[in-house]
Amino acid sequence: MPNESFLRRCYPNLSTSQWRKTSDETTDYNCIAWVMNDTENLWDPDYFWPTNISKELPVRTETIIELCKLYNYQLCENGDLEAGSIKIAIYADQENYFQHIARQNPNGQWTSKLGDWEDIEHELVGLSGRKGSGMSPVLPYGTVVRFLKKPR
Amino acid sequence: MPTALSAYSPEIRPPTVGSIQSHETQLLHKKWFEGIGERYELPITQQEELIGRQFYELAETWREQKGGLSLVYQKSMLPSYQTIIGLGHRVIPFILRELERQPDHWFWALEVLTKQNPVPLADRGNIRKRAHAWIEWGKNNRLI
Repeated sequence: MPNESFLRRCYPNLSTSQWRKTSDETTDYNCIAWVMNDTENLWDPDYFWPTNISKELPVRTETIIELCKLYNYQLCENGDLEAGSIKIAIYADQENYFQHIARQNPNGQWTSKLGDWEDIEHELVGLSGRKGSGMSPVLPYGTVVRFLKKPR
Repeated sequence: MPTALSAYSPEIRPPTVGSIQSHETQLLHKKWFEGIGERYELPITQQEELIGRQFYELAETWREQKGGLSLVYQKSMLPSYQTIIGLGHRVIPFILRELERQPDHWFWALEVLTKQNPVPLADRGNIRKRAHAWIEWGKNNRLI
């Protein structure tokens, strides 16, 4: 299990924002599954994937938006906390390829499953940053490029 | 083509420089022995040991790098994972034993290396059920 110092080195913005671990490490599910409240399946073109959503690789942001729309999410302007709504945020790299997805908690903070690592509660900026800006050449997740919401 | 046995043929000897084992001679012998691996195939048991060692080193690197990545193709495209696939079919038992120890994203490599997929479609999203199906496949094929 990566310790907090390790995570800060992978996601440098965690050093300057609030966050906390909320689960143990597991390979059972990933960030998309977590957003969809499914901890039994890994949501991925190579694992569980809705049949009418493109499996083209690399996965584009638009593909994830289509997937979220299947589950009643609609695009919205921002990640501001709204009573009665659940919001999600999509991170993408400079080429608009999907990197990560997070869901807003009722307290306005965001919850994420970090790949095969733990779930954390965090600020959106905490996981953003250019790939390779920390210790890992493949992290963090770029920038938030889209918000979606659905009724809570 | 030289065989594993030919490395031990009595006709093949390390080069000798006189009868005295000078420092230079020892270095020459050392270089000659080190070169054996490049010139001849290793015995099968040593080949497997070498592949196992390479696999565990690469797997450790892969685990360090893939952790935070969201999607399996991102993890599978890492150089360490691709190098494991490049080790060829002899790495399959090592992957299966690792999968038995801890479920992880080894299915891409297994499908490429074996051209098989023993996982029922309904279980494809569940990493533990996928691992179980592959371990059973490995046992049925006497690979573990």
